[in-house]
Amino acid sequence: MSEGIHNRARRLMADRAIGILKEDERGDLETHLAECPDCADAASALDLAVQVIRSVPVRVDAELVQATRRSVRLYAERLRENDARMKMMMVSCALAAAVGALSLPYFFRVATWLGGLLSFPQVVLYAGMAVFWLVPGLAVAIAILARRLQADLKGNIEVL
Amino acid sequence: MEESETRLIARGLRLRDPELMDALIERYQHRLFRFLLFLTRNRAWAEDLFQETWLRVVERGSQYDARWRFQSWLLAIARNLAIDQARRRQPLSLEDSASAAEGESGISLLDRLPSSDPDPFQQAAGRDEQGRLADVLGHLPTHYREVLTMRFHEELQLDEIAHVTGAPLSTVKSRLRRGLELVRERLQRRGHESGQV
Repeated sequence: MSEGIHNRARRLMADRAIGILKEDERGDLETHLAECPDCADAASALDLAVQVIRSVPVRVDAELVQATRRSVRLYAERLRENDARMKMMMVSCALAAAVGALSLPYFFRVATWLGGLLSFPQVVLYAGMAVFWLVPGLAVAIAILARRLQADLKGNIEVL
Repeated sequence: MEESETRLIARGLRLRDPELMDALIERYQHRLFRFLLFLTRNRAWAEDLFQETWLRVVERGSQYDARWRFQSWLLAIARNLAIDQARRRQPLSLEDSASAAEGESGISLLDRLPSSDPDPFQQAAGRDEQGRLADVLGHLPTHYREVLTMRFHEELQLDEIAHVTGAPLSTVKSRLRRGLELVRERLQRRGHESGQV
């Protein structure tokens, strides 16, 4: 038999072990194994290899699992709290944006009237309006940064 | 695992349900740890990665795609964390960067990290023949070891292995064939040396 036939048989043996051997190739392999003792030995060795891989007993330490469970529960709780805060903030932002958009024409009219009454230049009026619109956003950003800083400090302290 | 079950898992993960997390840890603890031990060959790192993987599952739960089995997503997370850890311990050389660009994804970095002493496979399997056979597995290159454990321990389908490793199906097949062949050759060599196998 040529080397090519044996190489093909080795590939088919591996495919059989992996579970991807095609039905039409199974017969070819079995016929070859019945005729070729070297390949039959190789097939037995391959079956043993699969058994070895399947039989390596690895068990995880029960304390590690318990510690992991505790960490996961704590972390999940913290993330759920963050999720709830984030949701509330999104709703607040959406409400603020809606109120802002609806009140814009009225606010503009009041600011124009006030600017006329106090004889402010138009640029001051627009700058004042911009600051008024930015203040809530800035306040939220500062609050988030402060909270994160606090959490980081707390985390560092826990590590220490 | 049925699709309805994976959908339930996906929903629980989105809600970060603690009961579900407990159940998942209970169910997949040994499989995950075994996979990590096979990948890293180091018990201490495997233990670190075990915890880190579950924390990542909680954190990224909303990214789980219910079309895939949970197990393959879990192993993909564990694998990526193991590669990250290997990178932290051993920064990429130029050669590694080139192979990463060619799609090798850094898994071979794990080959260069030392295994723990005593070897975790021998320690797990004891000092008998099974321990010596397990040692054969521990000395295979990582990209063979990982596909072999995913296929024969974790019973993942080939497309799932391709999904986890990010490698084409044809590469997964050839790695499985080559990996098995290497195990067989090494077992036979040991058999000839000791006259036992």
